[in-house]
Amino acid sequence: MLLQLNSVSTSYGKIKMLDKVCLSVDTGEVVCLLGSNGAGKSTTIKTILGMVKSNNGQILFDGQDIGKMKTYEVIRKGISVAPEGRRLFPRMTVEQNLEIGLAANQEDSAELKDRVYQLFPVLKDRVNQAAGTLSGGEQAMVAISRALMQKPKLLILDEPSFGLAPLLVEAFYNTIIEISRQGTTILLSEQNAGKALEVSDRGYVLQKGAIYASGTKQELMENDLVRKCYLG
Amino acid sequence: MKKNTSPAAGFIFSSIIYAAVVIFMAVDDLYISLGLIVAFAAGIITAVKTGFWQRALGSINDNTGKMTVLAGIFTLILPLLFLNNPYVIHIFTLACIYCIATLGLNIQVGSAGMVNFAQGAFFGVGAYVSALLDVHFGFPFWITLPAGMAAAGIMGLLMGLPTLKTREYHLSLVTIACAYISFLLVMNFKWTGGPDGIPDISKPVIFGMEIGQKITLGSITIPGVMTYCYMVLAFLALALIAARRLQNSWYGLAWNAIRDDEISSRCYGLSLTRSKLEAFAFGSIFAGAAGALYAHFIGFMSTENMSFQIGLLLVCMVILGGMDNLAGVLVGTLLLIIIPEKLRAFEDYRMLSYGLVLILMLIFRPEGILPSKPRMFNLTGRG
Repeated sequence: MLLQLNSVSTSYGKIKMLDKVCLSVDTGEVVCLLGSNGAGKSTTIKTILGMVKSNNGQILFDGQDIGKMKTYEVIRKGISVAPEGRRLFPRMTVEQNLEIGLAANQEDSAELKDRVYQLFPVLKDRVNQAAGTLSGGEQAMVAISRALMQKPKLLILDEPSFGLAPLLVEAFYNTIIEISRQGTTILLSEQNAGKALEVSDRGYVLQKGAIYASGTKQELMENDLVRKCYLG
Repeated sequence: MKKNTSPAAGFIFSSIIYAAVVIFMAVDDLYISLGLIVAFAAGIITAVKTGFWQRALGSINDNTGKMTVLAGIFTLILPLLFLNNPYVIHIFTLACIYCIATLGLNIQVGSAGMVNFAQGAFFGVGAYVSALLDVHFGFPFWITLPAGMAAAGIMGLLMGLPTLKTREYHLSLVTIACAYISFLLVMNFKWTGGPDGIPDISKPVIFGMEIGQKITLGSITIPGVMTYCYMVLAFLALALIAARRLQNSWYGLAWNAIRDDEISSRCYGLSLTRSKLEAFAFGSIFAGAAGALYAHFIGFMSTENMSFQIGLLLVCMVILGGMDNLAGVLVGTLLLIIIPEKLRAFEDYRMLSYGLVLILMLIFRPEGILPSKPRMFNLTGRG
């Protein structure tokens, strides 16, 4: 197992956010994390990254306990994340945004940049443009590219398709499939359950901070409650 | 990315500004000074309205190399123009010393977005450490200066620690508290001279020559401040190079990143703790150097020169000039030292005029006189 959460619980003060969440991601997989607003998707991701500390439970990455580590140490272990809402550095150019992605990976950047420009050829024309002036779709591409610059073992995408036009979402998910095919393990958090399940091998459904259902793509698609609540 | 603008516009523009500054510094009648300020402001407004200002700035930006050389020559000539007026050279030297401090402060306020009001305290630490080592132990300036810088750097680290958990307004409040704590400590310790300060700080000596002594060459007498002025200019040049390199380095990129978005920076593996402490330490080292230069220049150091007021003034200089733009920071510092000095008769209204200038700037040009340019330096090819 690349990433494993063993009954992890997290709370913000007295409010319990995650209740004994068990979750695992194997090398090479695409795993999706589904749930409505406030179900605990983002909290799960923040807990993995060490931005929120878990009260109990164990978080293993690559066989190491990362539950007590600081965020930047976790990132340097080989997890990278395209955060919710993209959070680009608006006043920096696209290229500098990408270079920030190298903070955890001090390797030569040329090859990594080439790979990113192959995935998103549009960005190549935007290299010296301030990231804040890009369109929503392009910003989403920069967010993922920035995460890829670190050559992550595990790539976490937090609602990557948020605010994108349906046509763009389609193209975007094709790119996610391509990234996975090139050998990156992906943990995908989404509200758009139909789309997310399409590209995933397995999935977890969160509700009120607990794992409510889990299984392979097929199993979840056939699960009555999942279909009723998330697939419509 | 290179545009081919001719350097002519920038050259004319810089020369006009330089001439205006020289005339302004040479005049010592209060009302003529006031008139010049009004005329200067009118000139700038006309330049902006006619588009000459933008053209000139564009030309300067496109010919950075030539313009840097020009600015260097202008600066080197400036003290020579005032051979008979040591007072002007004195003010100019002070302004250059403060420039070193604001270059450091710009790391925190401009690059990393942490508005630090305690830079005056770091300035004081550098000055006091250097002065005490000199007065009590007789160490030469070339040992007390690095000692002052190191002490200020360490203080910066220590003061950086309590600010780590805070952000924006809260961080500023913590730095204000730090400024007051250090001020009161120095004021109340016996060994710092308390409110009496430290008198008789010696001048630096190079190759047996005491800097700040009058030199007579035949019929020409070079005033003592002149030599000190050139020494400070040398330090300012070093500080500028250091600041420029820091800004263009990985440090600078990380500081800009945490300024723009802390959460995002963490997501990409930056250690906020490390970056913020580095910003504090590097910035304070600059302030420490400025403090030491100041103490040995004036020959006397007291708590007045490390008060919260100084910290506030330094922040004003950075904001006025243009955050995260080195040239802007220098311009802001020179303006806020030289103009009030010229208006000494209005001493009582000095702080008032700072307030007024800041308010006007924040309304009409919140990005400062020279706004920061988007970063263009790339780290590509880093091995």
